[in-house]
Amino acid sequence: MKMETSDEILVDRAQAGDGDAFGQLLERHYDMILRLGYRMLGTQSLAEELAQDLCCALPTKLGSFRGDAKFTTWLYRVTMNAAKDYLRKQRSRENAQKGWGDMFELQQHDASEKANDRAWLAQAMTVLPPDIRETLVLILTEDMKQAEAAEVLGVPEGTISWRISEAKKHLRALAQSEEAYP
Amino acid sequence: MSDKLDRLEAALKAAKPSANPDRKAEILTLARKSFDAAQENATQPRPTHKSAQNVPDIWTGVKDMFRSINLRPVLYATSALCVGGLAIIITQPFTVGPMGLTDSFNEAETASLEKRQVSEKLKSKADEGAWNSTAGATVEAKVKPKKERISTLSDSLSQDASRPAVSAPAPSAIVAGKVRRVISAEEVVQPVPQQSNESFSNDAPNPLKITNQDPVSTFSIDVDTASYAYIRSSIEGGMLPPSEAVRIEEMINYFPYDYLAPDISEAPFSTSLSVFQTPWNTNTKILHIGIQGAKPEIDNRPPLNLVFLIDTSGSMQAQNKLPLLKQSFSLMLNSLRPADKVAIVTYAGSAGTVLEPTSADQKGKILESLNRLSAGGSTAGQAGLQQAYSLAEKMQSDGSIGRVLLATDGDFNV
Repeated sequence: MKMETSDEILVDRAQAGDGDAFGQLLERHYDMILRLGYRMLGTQSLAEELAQDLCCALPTKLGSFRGDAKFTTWLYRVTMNAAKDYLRKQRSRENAQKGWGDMFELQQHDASEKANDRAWLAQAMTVLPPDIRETLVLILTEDMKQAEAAEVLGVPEGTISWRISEAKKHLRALAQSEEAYP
Repeated sequence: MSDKLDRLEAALKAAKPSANPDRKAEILTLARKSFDAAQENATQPRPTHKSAQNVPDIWTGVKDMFRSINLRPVLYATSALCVGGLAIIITQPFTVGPMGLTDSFNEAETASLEKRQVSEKLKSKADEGAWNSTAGATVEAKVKPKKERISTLSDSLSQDASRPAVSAPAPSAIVAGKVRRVISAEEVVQPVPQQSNESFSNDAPNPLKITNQDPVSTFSIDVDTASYAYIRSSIEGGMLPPSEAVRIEEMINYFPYDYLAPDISEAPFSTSLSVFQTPWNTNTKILHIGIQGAKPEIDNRPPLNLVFLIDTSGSMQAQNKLPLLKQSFSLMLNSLRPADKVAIVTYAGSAGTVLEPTSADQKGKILESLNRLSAGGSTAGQAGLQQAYSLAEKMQSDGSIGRVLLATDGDFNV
């Protein structure tokens, strides 16, 4: 069996100017970037836009990777930061594409159960502030432990558990408003 | 309550982007290009006067040097040498330094003088071979209050002093202080920003507009170009211009574009449109709208009667005021025609006519009176204006254009 070259070796080579190593790294992790982007932003096109911007910025960003964390941890962090930047920009871009918000409006009229779930998700994600959103994406869908998520997001572990309980509060409030205005 | 979280988990996990191999390939290719571009640009950012200041870490070097020298006599000897040598280095830039460096100049000069005395005192002590810590302490006390910097440095050094090998904290502190002065001396020799009373009142930049929602935009048709020249003179003077002096539109408008002029009978202005790829963003394009107003006829213009009202108050003395004005004036003279008439009125403490209306072909006479102008006194703007206008009235004749041109640096009646 052929041993796969480790991320860290590829990063070393890429930092030394090896374009093939860089290409291999991206090939390996592109799906992760797209997946995170999609769950943070809510639409395919936004996720792809984010992936493109991030991938094109990575050559420069890579210079700041010092190897004191795992490459994937660093990449998670960079991706999440980029996604949050997008959310911030979106808010300032009045009436521009709204991601999860758009999705919510689009699918409200679709009656199928699957669409119902999507609509609920879109609504829930819109309600959750970006910090909590990113925490949930990492914990729930990337199956990270709280300590890992804390390392990625650069916050204490306590903050992560606080954010999860905040998320529950938000979802509870959402459920109550659903009952009040079904 | 965690069933809500479970539901969110299930829904989030179900929310997956669809695989789009073409788009992926496209993005990866773009990233690869960006990687190659980054390799070419892997040079250091341009040095500015700010980054240059961060470079010399002489201080660390000095500290390391003293750490590595353990022989006490050697330490004494070299310290004495350093003190003597550095005092000379410090005094030199100031003896040849430019005049008018005012406060920092004087402070540095007195400081270096004092330190020279101190160093002489130290040297004599060193000659006696009895440079004990008491002497060091008095010297330190003398130097310390001069600059806070020195005291912080000697603090950090005294940590070293706790090491048994280096038992002469005070001399080291003085050397450190000297070294710092050398650096500050360089700071002083750098171009000192001119005392400038320029002020800028900029409106907040217009926000981004989404054109398919908000297609109407307006812009002003008058053209200012001062920013470009201001920035150029500032950079040529070795300084970065203040950020508020950078006005992109004025820099664009500074250059002639040779747009097609409109047919005056059809429209007051013509537009030229072009769309091109944004150089820094492959996803957007730039729409460029050029506007050219009807050009006034120059060849057949009527004769001009110009009255120059020139402020010759004391504040106009600066090299970039009255002297520059004289220079520009004599350049302009070449584009006047014999039929044009020029008069000059000046005002400072009082107003006076320097040049009676003179035909523009008598260049010698005009230049002579122009060169006699010198700045001094207060500013009586009102009297100057009245005199200029009465002169302009006298010059009036049918079919000619009369203008009063005011050249001043600001305050009108002082």
